[in-house]
Amino acid sequence: MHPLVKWFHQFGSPPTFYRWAGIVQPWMFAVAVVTGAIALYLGLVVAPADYLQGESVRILYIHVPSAWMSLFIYLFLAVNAFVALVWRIRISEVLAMSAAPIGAMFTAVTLATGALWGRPTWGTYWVWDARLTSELVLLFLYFGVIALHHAIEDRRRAARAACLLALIGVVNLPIIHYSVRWWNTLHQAESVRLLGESSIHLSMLWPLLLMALATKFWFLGSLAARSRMALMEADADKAWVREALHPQALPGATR
Amino acid sequence: MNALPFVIGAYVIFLLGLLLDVLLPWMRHRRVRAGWQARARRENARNPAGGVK
Repeated sequence: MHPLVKWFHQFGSPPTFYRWAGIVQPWMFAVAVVTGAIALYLGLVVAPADYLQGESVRILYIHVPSAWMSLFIYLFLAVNAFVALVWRIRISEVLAMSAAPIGAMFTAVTLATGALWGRPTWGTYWVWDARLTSELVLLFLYFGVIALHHAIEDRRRAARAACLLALIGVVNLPIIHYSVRWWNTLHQAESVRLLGESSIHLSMLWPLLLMALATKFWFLGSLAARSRMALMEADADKAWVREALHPQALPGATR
Repeated sequence: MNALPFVIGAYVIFLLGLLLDVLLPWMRHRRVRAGWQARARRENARNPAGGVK
């Protein structure tokens, strides 16, 4: 067996994943908190107010990274759903289902912070604009995946059905991304580009990028915590869970 | 229009979202773990030789 495939299978085994996720989780949260604190300082204190938007521009330092995360997590969910459906790898199922509530949280934050930015800037909390509506559809997709996962009693069947729904929902991702180009929307086009020049000043770009980095690490920490719990719940009767929980579980028990 | 209340509201929602994202699974983890511990203790009390190890 190829060493990479062998490593993947070893890492994908629940006991190994549980152990590694437990080690990685606090470090991910620590990096997220430090990076996020620096981004907050830069965004709230150092960066200037916008000449048009005024102080409300500071909302964008959390709104934009949350929006990026809502798309990134759905893509992560869909890739894991694909792997879980095609190769029946259980850890991918667990990762996909654990990512869904985190994605839903970031999508809800995106919509809420966007509404709070829209009121002082556009004069309204909400418009049925293509970008806003497709982002709302993304939130409903996340809710659908979570609800379907909890609606079926057999956990493996539930996860597979939810994975299928997640894959169908991928069609919404390019619609969200290109909505500002395909339709005439109130929502402005992107200011930060991966390829090409960004139309945003460096003093505003740095807090945005740092917060994007912080939210990525937060996602990894939260994903590790949630997937550990999902594995522990699913394998409650298995020997590896008993071994993992034994030190605290049975302080006075004889081994 | 004074944007400050909107800025504060947005940051509160963002931080609350992150906090709940960690707190809710952590509380559930504790509940599941406590349930497992209670069950293990019960089984060990019933059968000290062959209970949950």
